[in-house]
Amino acid sequence: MLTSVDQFLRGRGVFSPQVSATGRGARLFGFILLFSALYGAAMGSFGLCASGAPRLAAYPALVAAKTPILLLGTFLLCLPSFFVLNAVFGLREDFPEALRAVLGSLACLAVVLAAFAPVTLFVYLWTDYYDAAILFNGAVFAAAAGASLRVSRRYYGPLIRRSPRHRLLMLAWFGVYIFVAVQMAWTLRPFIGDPNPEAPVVLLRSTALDNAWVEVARIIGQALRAMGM
Amino acid sequence: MSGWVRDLDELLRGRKTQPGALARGTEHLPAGRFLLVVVGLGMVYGAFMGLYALLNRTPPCYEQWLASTVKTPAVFLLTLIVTFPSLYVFNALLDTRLTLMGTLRTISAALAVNLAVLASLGPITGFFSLTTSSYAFMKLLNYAVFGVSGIIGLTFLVTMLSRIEGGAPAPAAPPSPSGFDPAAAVPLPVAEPAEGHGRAVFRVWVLLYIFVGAQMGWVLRPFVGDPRQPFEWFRARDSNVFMDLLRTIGSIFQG
Repeated sequence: MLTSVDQFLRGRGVFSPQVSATGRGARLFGFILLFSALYGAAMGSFGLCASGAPRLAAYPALVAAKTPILLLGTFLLCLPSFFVLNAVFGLREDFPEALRAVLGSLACLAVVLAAFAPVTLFVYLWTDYYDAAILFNGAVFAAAAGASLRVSRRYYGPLIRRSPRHRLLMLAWFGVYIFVAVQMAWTLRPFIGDPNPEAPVVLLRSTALDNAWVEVARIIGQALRAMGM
Repeated sequence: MSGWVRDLDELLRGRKTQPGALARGTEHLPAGRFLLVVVGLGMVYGAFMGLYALLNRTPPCYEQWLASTVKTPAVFLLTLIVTFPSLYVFNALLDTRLTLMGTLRTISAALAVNLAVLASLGPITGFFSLTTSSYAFMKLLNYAVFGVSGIIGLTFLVTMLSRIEGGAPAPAAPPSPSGFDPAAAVPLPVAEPAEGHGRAVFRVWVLLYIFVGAQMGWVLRPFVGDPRQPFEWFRARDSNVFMDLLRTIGSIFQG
């Protein structure tokens, strides 16, 4: 297992971009499922660490189940348009490789997240401030996304050398993926679990029918108005 | 693979629109089949778009869902009916090799590409429809999705037209070993040599098509359906699509 992850991170063996090994896609899926669930368990243990209340013990398991859904659900929603756009841009023949590249970057995201799990737990031990926990997890996801660019560049590099249009498709994939993932995360929240005794332990917030980007636009609008614009 | 899926797949792969293939004519583009694809994929996207009316109204407004499903392909077909004669006349005036049927075949292929992109974005629209209560956001998202797929479809059309126009003495491209040259198959942003004023006329026609298509969508509204207003198959004549777009962008920052 560890050897496999090591090979993946270094881009060697079956994960070398030069070879087209069978079974690589299945392993990448496995990495995404396993490591994102692992980080989810750590992310969801905030309540336990902060207050120790036994009623919050369900969160690590709930969040461990939801984090892979966040990553793979978004992946599935974005897949049809990624396929059609690749075909329309004349890159249909390269699609299996492009798919492996975006799967690889997701797997890298999950592995980096899991590697941050101890840090997250450590942070949880010295802060019981809920907003700080949210902010810290946001930063961890951003850092992991940045790190995953390395793998996507490794797999996309040969494709881009073959046709520069792959660069456009790669950027489109990340743009659409992030756009959908933010809303997916918003819909599936809570991911951390408010330790406030009045906040019930829930799988999903009951007010879930809402839109993250509308919130962002509203906040920007408020800020602009506050500045007298 | 059933016939129309194979035709669409070959179209998307660019096999049907290689300069060599287009230089021989447009008979290999099955217009009837492509128009059926347009209807089918339009209904798929319309159904995703209409999901908003099911969750944001109590009780769910099934009429609006049905209306979105039926009206989405209608926008494309009616726009085609309105703009097709002018495209044909331009082609005839420029004395291109496109006959009346050839023009129809070419534009139906471009529409099929447009709708394939649109329908492939359907799951994303469906997801946002189910999880969003903001009407303004859903309108903007749909404007964006229709815009992106429309731009891709029209780029496809202009590339095909210029290949047909400049394709008569198509220099025999060296065939690749598989008999398929991916570089030549690319239907999208390939800088082809401008064919004089012919290209300019096509560009003017594209502007006309965008204007008619956008306004056709406005005339046939509602597609998403404002949850604060009762369901109607068609809204009263009022304003225009471009003003509405600007107003919607403004309103999303109002909170």
